[in-house]
Amino acid sequence: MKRYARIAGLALVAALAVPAAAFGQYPPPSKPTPQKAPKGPFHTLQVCKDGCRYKTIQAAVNKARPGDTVKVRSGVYRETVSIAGASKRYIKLVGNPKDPSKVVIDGSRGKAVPRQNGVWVNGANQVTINGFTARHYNGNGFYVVNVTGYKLTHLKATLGGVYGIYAFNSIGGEMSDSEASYNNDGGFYIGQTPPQSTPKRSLVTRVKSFGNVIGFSGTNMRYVTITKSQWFNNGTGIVPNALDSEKYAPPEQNVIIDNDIFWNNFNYYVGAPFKVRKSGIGVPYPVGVGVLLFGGRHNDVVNNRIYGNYLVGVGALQQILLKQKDAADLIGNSVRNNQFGLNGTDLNGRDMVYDGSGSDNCFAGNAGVQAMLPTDGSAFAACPFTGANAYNAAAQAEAFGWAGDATHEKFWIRHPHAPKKGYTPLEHYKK
Amino acid sequence: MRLLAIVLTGAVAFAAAPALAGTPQITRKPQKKKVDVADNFYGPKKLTVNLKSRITWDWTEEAADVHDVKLISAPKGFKKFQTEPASAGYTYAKTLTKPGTYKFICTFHEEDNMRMTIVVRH
Repeated sequence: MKRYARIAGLALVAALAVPAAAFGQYPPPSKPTPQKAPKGPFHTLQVCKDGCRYKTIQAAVNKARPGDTVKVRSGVYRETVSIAGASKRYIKLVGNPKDPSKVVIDGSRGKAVPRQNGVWVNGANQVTINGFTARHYNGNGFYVVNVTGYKLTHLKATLGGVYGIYAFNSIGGEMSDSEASYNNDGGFYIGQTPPQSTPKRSLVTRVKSFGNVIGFSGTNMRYVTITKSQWFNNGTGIVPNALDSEKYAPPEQNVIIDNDIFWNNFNYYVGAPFKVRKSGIGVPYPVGVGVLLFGGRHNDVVNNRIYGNYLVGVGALQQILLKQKDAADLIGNSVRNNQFGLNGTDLNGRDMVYDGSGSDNCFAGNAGVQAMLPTDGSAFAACPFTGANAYNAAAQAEAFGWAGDATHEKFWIRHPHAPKKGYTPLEHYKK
Repeated sequence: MRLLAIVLTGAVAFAAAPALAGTPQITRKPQKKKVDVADNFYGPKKLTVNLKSRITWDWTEEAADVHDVKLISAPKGFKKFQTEPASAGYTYAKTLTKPGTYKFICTFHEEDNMRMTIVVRH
């Protein structure tokens, strides 16, 4: 998840990345495993409701050999698609990249037990999924696990029970030109990235995420660049976070750069187009936050436009309840050259919040900052900075206190939004 | 006197044993048992059932996150399995046809000790 931290809180942060060698020697990942690129010849298998050899996507996938293309024509397909194992590596599942809304996989009807995943890729490297909409799945829209290399592009994932577009325990992938909306947890989620001695980075670019509980969740995520994307009208915008529930804490070496992160004030507790699930554990992240670094090392938040988030623009907090104590502190993160408050026309409740925990975290070149916690700015060391940061227990307590608010709005500081053509602020969902 | 009676009963039973050796064992009746799958645990965590019992894993309303059930250790001859990743409302059932110890994990939350053991007895 992470929608729920074992506790919850808010804080903010940052610091400068250091050379990979400084992070210590990681063991190679035990999985996923390498797979040979297929040599062909390659074939294209056609799927459609009438007149094609295959009437279901799964039937075509079952016949596909490594590197083949499964081309799916327009229509609504009520099924779950599984692409599993090395025998399905390098497969391309192609719908309509120009208009993904024309090729829909739908989990809403037809089975007593609800369908869980729209497309599920497990252990098949370098699979491409391009040009689909997944909706109404009880679990996830598009989901890859245990792979090296994946491409999820021109996708829409909406009204999912948990995550929209999701990669877990995987190395080096791409999520691009896609949209996730009204999902019950993260619209986009990359979790449990195996540490690597020679990291393969993942890229999230040109995506939109809105109406979700969390726009982007990254539990123990590493080597991910999130860029040129819009994160708005979610409960919380982007949350790289350290949790015990998954392997390889904390999140590391991620870069959040050149994004628009605004209006993340969707109080889904008041109303939502999905049934809000109450986990048996933890407390949810507070509503009204643009970016929250909840534990983490060497993550950079750079050159973003961050505005209209009623609680906090960028927060960084120590993950105080993490069992793995050596991964709880914020180390070497940076928040640099961001523009807060849209030139004073669409202010955040508080632009930056940081409990001053950890070391080597720094802040520099951020424009439009009007409100901070701690208010005296003592925690916000200028870049570059090495050494222990100025821990502020009162600021930490205040930020964590926000998570316990039953209304989820009590600590908001509302400001008027600047009009934005084609966009409407979402705070309370109405049918 | 009471002690003597016990001794005598034991002696009778011992004497009768050779005659019973060739008779089939009494098999306990298969059961139906439910296991909750929630955030982030299985309930119960340990279970002892009779041979050929049917186990149903039930993703409860408290399964807000994604979980699966992967059989990582089983008696010889029993085929391992892994459910699809699922959330609240999903169920999966399996009949355990070999006696012995079965160990399961959630591949998403193994780190959180989300695991369980089922012992199948004759």
